[in-house]
Amino acid sequence: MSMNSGYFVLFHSGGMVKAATIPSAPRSFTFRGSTYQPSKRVLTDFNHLVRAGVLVGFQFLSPEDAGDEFLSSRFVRDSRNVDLAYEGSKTPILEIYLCNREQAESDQAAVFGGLVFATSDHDYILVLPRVTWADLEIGFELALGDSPSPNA
Amino acid sequence: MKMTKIISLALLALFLVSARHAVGVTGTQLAIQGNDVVLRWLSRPGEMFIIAHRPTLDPSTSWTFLETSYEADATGTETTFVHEGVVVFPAAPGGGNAGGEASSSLERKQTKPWNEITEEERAARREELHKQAQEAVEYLMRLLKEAVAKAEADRERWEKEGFPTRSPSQTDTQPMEGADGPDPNPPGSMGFYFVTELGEDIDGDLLPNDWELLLGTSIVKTDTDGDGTDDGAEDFDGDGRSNYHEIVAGTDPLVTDELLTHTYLTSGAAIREEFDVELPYPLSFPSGFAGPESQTIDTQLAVYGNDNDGIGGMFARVVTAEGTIQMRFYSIFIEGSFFASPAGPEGSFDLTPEEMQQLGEAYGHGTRSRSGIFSTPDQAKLQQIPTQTLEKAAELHAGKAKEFWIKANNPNISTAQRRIYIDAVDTQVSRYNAVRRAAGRAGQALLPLAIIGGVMVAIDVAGSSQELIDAARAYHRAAVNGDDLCDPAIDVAIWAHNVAPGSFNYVWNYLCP
Repeated sequence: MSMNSGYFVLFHSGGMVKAATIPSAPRSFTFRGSTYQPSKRVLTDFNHLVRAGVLVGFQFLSPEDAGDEFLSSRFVRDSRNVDLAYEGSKTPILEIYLCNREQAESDQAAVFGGLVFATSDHDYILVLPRVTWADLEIGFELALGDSPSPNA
Repeated sequence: MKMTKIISLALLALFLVSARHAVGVTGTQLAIQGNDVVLRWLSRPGEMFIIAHRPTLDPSTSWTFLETSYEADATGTETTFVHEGVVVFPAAPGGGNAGGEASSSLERKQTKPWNEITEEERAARREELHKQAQEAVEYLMRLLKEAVAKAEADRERWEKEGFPTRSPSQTDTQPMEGADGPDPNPPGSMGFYFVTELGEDIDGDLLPNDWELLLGTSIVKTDTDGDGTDDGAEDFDGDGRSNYHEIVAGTDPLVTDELLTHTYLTSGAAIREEFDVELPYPLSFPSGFAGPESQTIDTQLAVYGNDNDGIGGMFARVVTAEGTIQMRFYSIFIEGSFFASPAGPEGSFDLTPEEMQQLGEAYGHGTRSRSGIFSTPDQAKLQQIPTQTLEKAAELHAGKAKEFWIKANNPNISTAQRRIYIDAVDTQVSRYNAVRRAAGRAGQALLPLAIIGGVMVAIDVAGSSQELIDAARAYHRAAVNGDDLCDPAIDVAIWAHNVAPGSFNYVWNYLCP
């Protein structure tokens, strides 16, 4: 059984997607002078990318749910640690690696509840339930400074 | 009761392990009553079904359509079809009739109610039933070996000679084997069945079953004529539009002249604005409809998601301003971007973050969590969620299941990606059914396309026969010993799933009822 112990906040900064954590989903974010409002589009559920029992990233089977603007946004296109895996499909699988991606695999946990926050010029922040179970450890550094500020 | 269950399970095992299956609408149940096969499945009034039967294991054997427009029960939630006289019990070694004798013996014994006989008589009956169950299972195991041996031989032959491809006419008339070949209809066979909705696309070639019947293409083969082009992508009338596009556009795929030409620009523009998608096919009106230029159109465009297969059909309803509702249904081909957001035209399904959190807490993990636990949604938690939320979630998961199934069927993707999508289908179906149950709407469970045809393919291909034999033996032992059947059933179901992705739940539900 999953247990939601807060949320991961994924945001684009310095050509990379970085992660922070927050205890609860906010109404909006403020980041670099912009306000990120909740989008009607969501990323419903997602998988963890796991390597040797360590969480190294996230996988989205339907990233197009967040809209075409999302797929062509800085968050996706300009982040060196974000992959769009088409493999013959018109609709890609989106993978975000927050540390070494070698031998990472999807856990297919289908965690439900991914939220999308966006600015009017299509910059994005993703908020993902932080689900913990078994021995899954976080295998990446969490951003402490220069991260989005949640607005209650 | 236990022995009755064993007999039932033996019959189920006969149904599954002997490689003769009913496939199609999920939850279809098969029962043998004397020499008749009784098919029973969930339905809603107004639905129409196709029922087909194939008497042999050989995949090149043609299907016989028992019904091509069988109406669902008009009042209930279940439809029944009886295929009379199809079960032929073989002569047992040493004379007699193994299956038939067992059944008739069973029927005779059961003429006296169980609660009216003595304890000694019950014990004797239990023993007899147990013996019959053993015989039945042993018999089906023989059938299994024969079936697998034949499938292996076929596969070896096909590997050497190439997979057989035949035209529909050949399929209908060509005998399966020569006089000296294996018996195409081994004794005890009841054959394959499938039941599917008329509008379904059972083989995934983009042509609904009813259209396949009209066009003369196979409803279970994507490429009927084996020319390398799926039936939906063929252009039978050579007018430059594929059969599939013609069907969704409402034109006749066999008539060259019938092609949409009158583009309804105003409405088209509105639709583009409404749905934010491109219309690759010009939207037009049939003759007799004046079109928007000469009418005041209220242009209430109601959207109906295509709940048949999610391939891309939509219908727009135009309501005139005069108050006379002219129901005009148009099929509009919508590119994948719409169905990539199956919950609605805006990609939104109106679940609030709070609702999503509630649902997320109840769902648990998906199909293959790293913890190794195949978790199922927490029904108690779901029942605490408002019905309206559950209904919205059901809509979401139904759409996602279809979306993932369509993605899984993309022939161009990698095997690894396909497996991920197929597992995602399982998760979505599981969640759909769970929220429907929690909303008090069990019995209308989603019929995942993933299931349709799965078992049939599994048996036809028989790609991992030794694994199946091992799994079947374990199941057999459990049935004979009265042990838990669910554990060995998993292996059988996994085997089926590996060979025919998507068939796990189907097989599992049958073997572990």
